[in-house]
Amino acid sequence: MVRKYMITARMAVQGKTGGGILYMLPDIVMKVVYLVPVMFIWRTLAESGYEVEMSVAQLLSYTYVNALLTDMMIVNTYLSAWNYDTRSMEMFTRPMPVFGQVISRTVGEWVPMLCLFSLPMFLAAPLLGIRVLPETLWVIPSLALSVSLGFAFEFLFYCVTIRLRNISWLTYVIRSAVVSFFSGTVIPFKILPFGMDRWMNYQPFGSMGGAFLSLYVGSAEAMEVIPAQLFWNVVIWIAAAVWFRRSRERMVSFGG
Amino acid sequence: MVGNNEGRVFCGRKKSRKRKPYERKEFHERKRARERQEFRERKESHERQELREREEADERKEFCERKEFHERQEFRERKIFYGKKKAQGGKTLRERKVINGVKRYFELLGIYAKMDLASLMRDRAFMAIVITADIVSNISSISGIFLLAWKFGGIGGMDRFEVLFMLAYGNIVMGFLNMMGGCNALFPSRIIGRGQWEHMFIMPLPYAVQLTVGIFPFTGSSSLLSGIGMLWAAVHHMETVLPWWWPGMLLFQLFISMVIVVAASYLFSSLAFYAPVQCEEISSTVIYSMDHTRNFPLSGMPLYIRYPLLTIFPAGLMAWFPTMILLGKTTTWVNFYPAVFALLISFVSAYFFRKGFGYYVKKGINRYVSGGHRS
Repeated sequence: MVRKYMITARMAVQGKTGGGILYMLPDIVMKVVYLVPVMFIWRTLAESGYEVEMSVAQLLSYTYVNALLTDMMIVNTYLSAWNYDTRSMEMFTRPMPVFGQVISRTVGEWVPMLCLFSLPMFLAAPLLGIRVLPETLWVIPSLALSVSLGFAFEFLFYCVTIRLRNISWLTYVIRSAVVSFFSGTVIPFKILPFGMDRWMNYQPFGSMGGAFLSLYVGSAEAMEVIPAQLFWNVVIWIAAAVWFRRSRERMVSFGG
Repeated sequence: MVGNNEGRVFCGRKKSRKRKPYERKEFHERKRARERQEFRERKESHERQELREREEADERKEFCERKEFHERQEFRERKIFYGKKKAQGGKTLRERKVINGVKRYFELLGIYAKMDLASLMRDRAFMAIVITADIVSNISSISGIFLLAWKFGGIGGMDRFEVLFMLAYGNIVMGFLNMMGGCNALFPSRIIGRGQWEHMFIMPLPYAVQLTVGIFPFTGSSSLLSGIGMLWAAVHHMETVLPWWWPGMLLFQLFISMVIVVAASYLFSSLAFYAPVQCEEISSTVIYSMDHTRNFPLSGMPLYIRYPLLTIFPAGLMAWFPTMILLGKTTTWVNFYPAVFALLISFVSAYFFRKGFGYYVKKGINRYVSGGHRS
C-alpha cells in the first residue's frame, strides 16, 4: 500500500538529483542570499529602538526556520506546470490515486533540499546565535496540518488554472504573491499595523506556515492555532476534492 | 646448316646488297623528299596547334575580360547600393544591416503587440479579471515591507513613503523587464539549455534580434503600471523636496538598473553553454532571487551585508541604491557607481557569453534525442 508511494517519492528524489549536486547549488546559494537581509531587517528594527510585539530572538528564529522549511511552509507542486506538458494526463493513466501521486512526488522532491540545505543550516544555527529548537511539541501536528492545508490549496489553485484555460504562469504568480503575504511566513502577523493580526490569524492562508512558525517560536498558543488549522483543513480539503472532481473533465493539455 | 651462309644465319643478319651509284642517288633523293614532307607536315601541325592555342588564349582572355567587366559592373552597382557614398545619401553595408535589424526588431515587436492585443480582445471580461488579479498580486508582494515601514514610521533611516518609493522603483524595473523580456528573452539560459539556440542558426535574423524580441504590452504590464501608480503616490506624499532634474535622473537610473539585471542574467546564463541541463533555469533563479531581495531597504544594515549586495549579488542596485541617489542621500562621486558597475558587468557578461558561445559551437548540445524529444 505505502510501498508504491515510497517508490514514487524515491523516483522524485532521483529526478531532482539526477543532474548532480551542481543543479541544486544555485538554489541553495540564493536561499542563503535571501535569508541574510531578512534577518538583518529585524536587527535593524531592534537597534532603532522600536517596540515590537515579538522579541528579536523570536523574529530571527521565525525567519530562520521559515527559510529552512520553506518548501513545507508554502507548498508548491508542479501541478500547474504538468498541465501544459501533458504530465497531468499521465497521472490518470497510472493505477494510483491522483492526490497520492502528487503528494508523494512533491514530498520526494523536498528531500534533497532538506538534506543539503536545511540540515546543515539547522546544525549551524547555534553558531549564528539563533535558537532553532521549538517551544512546544505541538509543532509536530501543526506542521502536518500546515503541509496538508498547503496541498489542499494546491489542488484548489490547480482547479483555478483549469478554469483560467491553462494560464498556469499567472496562477502561479498570483498564488505566490498572495499566499506569501497572507500566510504570514515572511512578516509575522503579530507585528502588522492596524491590528491586522486579529483577523489575519483566522483567514485560511493564516493556518499554513505562519501558524506553525508562531507556535514554533512561542508567539502563539497551541489551543488557538491547532483548532483553526483543523477547521480549515476540513473545509479546504472538501472544497478541493469537490471542485477537482468537477474540473478535471475540463482539463486540456498539450505539448511534451 | 654448314658453309658460308650458315654463319650469316647464325649471326642473324643478312648482308645487304651493295647499291649501285644511280640507285644511291635515287635513294637519297627519296629520303630528302620524305624528310621535307615530314618537316612540312610537322610545321603545319605545329602552326595549327599554335593557332589553336592562340585562339584558345584569345577566348580565355576575352572570357576573363568579360567576367572582369561583369564583376566590375556588379561591384560598381553594389557600391552604388551599399557603398560608402551613395549618390542619394546612402549608407554603408554595415549601417544598412544594423538599420534593417532594428527595423525588423520593431516590426516583430509590433506583431507581438498585435497578438497580445488579440488575446486581450478575445474575451475582455476574462482578461480584465486576469490583469486585476495580476495588479493585486504585485501590490501584495511588496505590502509586507511597506506595512512594516508604516508601523515603525520607516526602516533604517528611510521614512514610510521613501520606502514606498523604493518598492515602486523596483516594481517599475522588473515590470518593464518582464513586459519586454517575458518571452524568455530575459532568461537566455532557458534558450541555451533547452537547445533552442540551435534553432536560431537557421533563422534569417541576427541573434540579437531573435534573443531580445518578445513583448506583452497589454497583458504583461500590470507590474509596471502598479509600480508607476505607487511611485506617483510616494512622490505625492514624500516630505523630501525633489530637485527639478529628478525625472531625467529617474529615467537614467531606471535604465541603469535594467542594464544591470539583464547583464547579470546573461553572465550567469553563460554557464548554460557548459552545463545545459543543470543550468537551464539559472537565469530565472538569479533574477527571481534578485527580485525578492530588492525589496529590503539596506539602510541601517552593516557594511558587510550592504557591500556584497551592491557588488557580488547586485540586488541593492535594483531599487535601494538608485532610490538613495534620487532622494539625494548619497555623495556626488558615489552617484556614478551604478553606471560604472553597469558598464563593467556588461563587458564581463559579454566576454563570458562569447566565450561560452565559442565552446558551444565546438561541442554542441545533446538535449535532443533522435526522435526529436528533449532529454
